[in-house]
Amino acid sequence: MEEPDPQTVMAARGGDVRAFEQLVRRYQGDVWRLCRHLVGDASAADDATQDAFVRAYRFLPRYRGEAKFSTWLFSIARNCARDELRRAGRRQRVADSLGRDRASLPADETLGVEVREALIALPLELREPIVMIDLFGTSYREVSALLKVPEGTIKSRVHRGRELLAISLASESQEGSGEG
Amino acid sequence: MRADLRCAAARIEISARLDGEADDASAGLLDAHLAVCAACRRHEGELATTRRALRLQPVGAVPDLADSIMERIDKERGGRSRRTEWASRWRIAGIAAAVAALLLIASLPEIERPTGVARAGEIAGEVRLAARSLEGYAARFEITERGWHEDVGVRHFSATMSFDAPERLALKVRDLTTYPGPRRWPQNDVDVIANARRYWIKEPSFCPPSALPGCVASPAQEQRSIVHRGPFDGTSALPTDIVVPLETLASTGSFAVLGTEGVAGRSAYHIALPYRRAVPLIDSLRAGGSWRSFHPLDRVDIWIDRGTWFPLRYSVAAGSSQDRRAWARNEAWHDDAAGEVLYEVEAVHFAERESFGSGLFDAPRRGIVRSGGFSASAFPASTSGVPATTAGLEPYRAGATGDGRRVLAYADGMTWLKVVTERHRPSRPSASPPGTAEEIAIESGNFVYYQPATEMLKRRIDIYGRSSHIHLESNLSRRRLLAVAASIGARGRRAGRVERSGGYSVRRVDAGRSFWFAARAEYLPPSYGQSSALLSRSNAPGRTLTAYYGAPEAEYEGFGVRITQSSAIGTLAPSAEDGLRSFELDGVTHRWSTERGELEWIERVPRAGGAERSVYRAVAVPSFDLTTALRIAEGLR
Repeated sequence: MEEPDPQTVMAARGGDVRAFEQLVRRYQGDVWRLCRHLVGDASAADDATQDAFVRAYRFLPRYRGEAKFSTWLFSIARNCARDELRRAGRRQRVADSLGRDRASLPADETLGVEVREALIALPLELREPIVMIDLFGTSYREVSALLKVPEGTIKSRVHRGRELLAISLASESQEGSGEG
Repeated sequence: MRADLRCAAARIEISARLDGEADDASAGLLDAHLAVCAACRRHEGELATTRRALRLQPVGAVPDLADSIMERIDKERGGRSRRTEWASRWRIAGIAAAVAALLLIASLPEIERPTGVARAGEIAGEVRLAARSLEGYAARFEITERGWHEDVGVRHFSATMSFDAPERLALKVRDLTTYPGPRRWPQNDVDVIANARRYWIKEPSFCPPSALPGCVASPAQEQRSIVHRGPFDGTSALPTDIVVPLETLASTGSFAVLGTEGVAGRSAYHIALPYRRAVPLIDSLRAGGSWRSFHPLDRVDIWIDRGTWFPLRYSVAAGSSQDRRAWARNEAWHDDAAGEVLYEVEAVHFAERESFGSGLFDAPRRGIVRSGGFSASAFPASTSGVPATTAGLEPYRAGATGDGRRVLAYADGMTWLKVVTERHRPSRPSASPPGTAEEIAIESGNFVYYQPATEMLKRRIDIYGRSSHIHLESNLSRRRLLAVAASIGARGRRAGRVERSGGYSVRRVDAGRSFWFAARAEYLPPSYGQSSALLSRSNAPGRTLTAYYGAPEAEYEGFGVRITQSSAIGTLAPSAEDGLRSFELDGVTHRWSTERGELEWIERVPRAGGAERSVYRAVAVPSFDLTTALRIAEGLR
């Protein structure tokens, strides 16, 4: 992912709202897609994305450039996505207790349905590194810094995730072709 | 790396190598293992296929959330909104600056093109441009409607529409349905003809669907005319979103672009949004007569032509929520199945037109005739109360209403602006802003009151001066309308007390002001912001803060979000309402009213000295659902 102009980041750190807005416009798409894959629902991704930028604005004075800006922003977004998953789970339980209450406007398609469903079925620990590496091309080292787990663990989680995805995609395509 | 690389370890390395992240030292060992292990070679193929499947997925559309994010950042900075700041900057430097600011805001929304972000903003911009350049249009549509009455499964209609910008329109809807026992059902034929001076509608006399069949009113059709019609009269608003969906698309900005598809041999954008945001388009061919209704969250799909921005096809499908089912029971649309297409319109022919047959827009004077009381005159030579900038719109019509208010109208294509001035004696103001209007300081000590578009009226700004009340209405965007208002040079007073009677008083308070019993709303639906806050008190102890939140450009179903917080109410009053449901959340009993779309609860709030007081909180979201109410409620903790 492209890094922003350091002057824009500096200006935003210094409280320049217009500069921060440039960062929002530049990165909102990537942040939304990350959240979308982590939370699995478009409107929850909207919420997580907004929270992420509000928190980023709050924490920006503390950003010292030790990580890439995109990595720093992603680690915030990932935490917001986790919070949103917790809240969405809770809301769903309330709505379920009153009878099903699903949003009427179906989510849009950002991935082929099969791949997306298989991805969202993965445990979060495996889904996070897969999304970051395969959908955003983030390096293992960055993902390791971002998730605060050793690189070796990232390596094995990515493998385990791909292995599970391969199994679920293979079984779906078999069902689809009527062979299994 | 171990010397004997077993399959499990080899496979992790295989996966990493696909990403160019393998351990260099183990490369030789890995190759050696693969040479002898067929299972791992197969596994390598599977991993590579999976990785490719993930990486080759289309990027897809993402929503543009920048505006709502920046709204929240503004709040973070202490409630001073950027739009207010800009507005005040323009005024300080005078009118020249207002013109410059107009140019500035025109370039702001796309400061830097984000990668892969939805084309929603772009489409909205194109629709705005099309609405400016379109002079004339003629089209024919086919309409299919399901579920209007349980004895009539499907109804079919044809409609023709001619439009000559900005105010001449002819709409003809013909009912092609074969009703069971034709004589007992009213024929749903509708005619509307409008021109600058006159409006006429002919529609079937009203029969509630529940009284059908058998309710045959006499006469079967009724006619109404408005003569001496003022420009862009809200009581006879023209259904122009069918021509170019300016309000539906350009005013919301928040819709999903699902892709590009071919419709009737043309290339179209496929757009989806909830009915609550698409009312002006969906209801455009339903300007008169009897039609079924839709739930605010029913799904609307629109296919809009990429060359002309005319809607080629659109449909409404039933939503699936619990609230939606409760609503359907109330409204007697109980046969709707989730996802079923209830209403569908398809353009079978359309063309831009420069000239129309003579007499097409001659509105008859028949049936019940009402006068709009408007008399035309020339545009005034003086600049007092006249906007110095009109966002590029040209003077169109000027005159006065029957009660002496001056009306100036400006237009360009379908885009228009109206400035109505009412003079009154100094210090005898004739009107005050509605409680839900947003107060905006366009400079220190100069206040205007803004309201988003409704179904009938477009965006409005009111300026309450010392000796005049200036009212602006337009289908320009909020930002442009604010710039126009700022260029008038009138000094608007701040509205004080809204109401006072018998020990009960309501007054406006600053949005940023805090009260011990009121929590701040951390979460609001995207693009929503606070419109107003009202503090009320009665002779009884305690105060109530009612805050309204709205979408910036349009709110078609009454107010958007209302949050009520009160230290005067200590218990949830019993209610006999239908569809009231109670549940526990964090040990607190919450109550959800499907009918009102309101979530209520009583919270214990700590006070100084370790005491606790009961506080009533309520979140009303009439055009959303329980999930949204819960999200807002969470943000109040």
